[in-house]
Amino acid sequence: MVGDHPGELARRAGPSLIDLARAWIAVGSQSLGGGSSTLYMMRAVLVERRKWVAPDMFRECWAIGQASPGMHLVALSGMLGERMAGLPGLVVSVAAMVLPSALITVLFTAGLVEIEQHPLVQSLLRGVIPAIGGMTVAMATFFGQTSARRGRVAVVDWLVVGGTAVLIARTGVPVLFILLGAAVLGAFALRPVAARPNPPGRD
Amino acid sequence: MSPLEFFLIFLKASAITFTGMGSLPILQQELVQFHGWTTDEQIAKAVAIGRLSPGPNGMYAVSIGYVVMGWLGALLALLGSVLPPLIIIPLAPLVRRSIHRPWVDGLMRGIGLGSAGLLLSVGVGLVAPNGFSLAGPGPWNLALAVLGFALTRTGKLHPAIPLGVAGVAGVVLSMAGL
Repeated sequence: MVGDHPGELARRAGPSLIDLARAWIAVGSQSLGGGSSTLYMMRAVLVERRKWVAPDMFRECWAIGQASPGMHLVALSGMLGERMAGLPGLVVSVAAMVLPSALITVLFTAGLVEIEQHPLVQSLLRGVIPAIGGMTVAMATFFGQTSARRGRVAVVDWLVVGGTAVLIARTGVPVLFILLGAAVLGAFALRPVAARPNPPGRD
Repeated sequence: MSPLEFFLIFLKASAITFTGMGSLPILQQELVQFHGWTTDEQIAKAVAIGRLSPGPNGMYAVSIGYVVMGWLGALLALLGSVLPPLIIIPLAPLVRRSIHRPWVDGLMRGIGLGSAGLLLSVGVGLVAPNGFSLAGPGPWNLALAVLGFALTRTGKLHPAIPLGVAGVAGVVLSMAGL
């Protein structure tokens, strides 16, 4: 198992690439319902069932993956694959997790394109599209909650959320500039409330 | 449209945002508003398919890629979405050292809150295509959006449940001529 002891990063004889691919295909093709179920399945397969990754290693990779751009689960699968079997393990892990999922997504899409002009499908979509709008708003509030600080300063953070939404809807400013602005604002004005200056003599 | 330009849009959308769904506002702005290669309705369908498919939520991008440019588009969307997160692997030691610094924490919070606002705008746009206009969305669209919001908010239900309920409601509304 990689990381039997806290802090241990040394790689021992890990799983073969074939075994690794099989495990990640199971994660990528059977974890229904989005990110949290995929994360749950990763842990169940790699930590509990196969015992290739120690719980502390899984936690550490997860925490680092939270700082990655894009899909955190892709970062996590790459990191775990690299820890288990080096660069080939990274490539196999990421490919085996995303390819089945991508293939199923394309097949669903192709199927929908074929039948979407049918009146019954049009009726279904008449309900689904506004619901997707509501579900996207729910996801936005979830993002906001996970990013916002606690206490009174949360008001400031939620004003940033609302302000950003109005800014993009009213002006159409490129998203890149809005996110850069939010990053600079955050670095200077949205720091943790509990942070205190370092003690004298420390960097 | 050139395949390279298409790939770079997905790469950018993944590289400057956090989480799979964080890329949605950029893809919507680039593909619908700036280039007119797809529509808000197609984006909504892709999100629905992404929620129903196994794997990470960000796979909805592959659906958009397929609708706009077929199998090549799906492949380009997949590569563009998957490559940026991997940058964290060589940077892991640096991240481990700096992730608890206040300014890094603040920077990530700023991007997270900004992404939430952008996603909020996309969600509202799907319900009320005229944005924050006084006219607002039709009452049934609003009711369906509230239903989708309420059933997703807890995060405990499989996405197929709100989508299934909304689909049945859509059929009933269509039969009633609403």
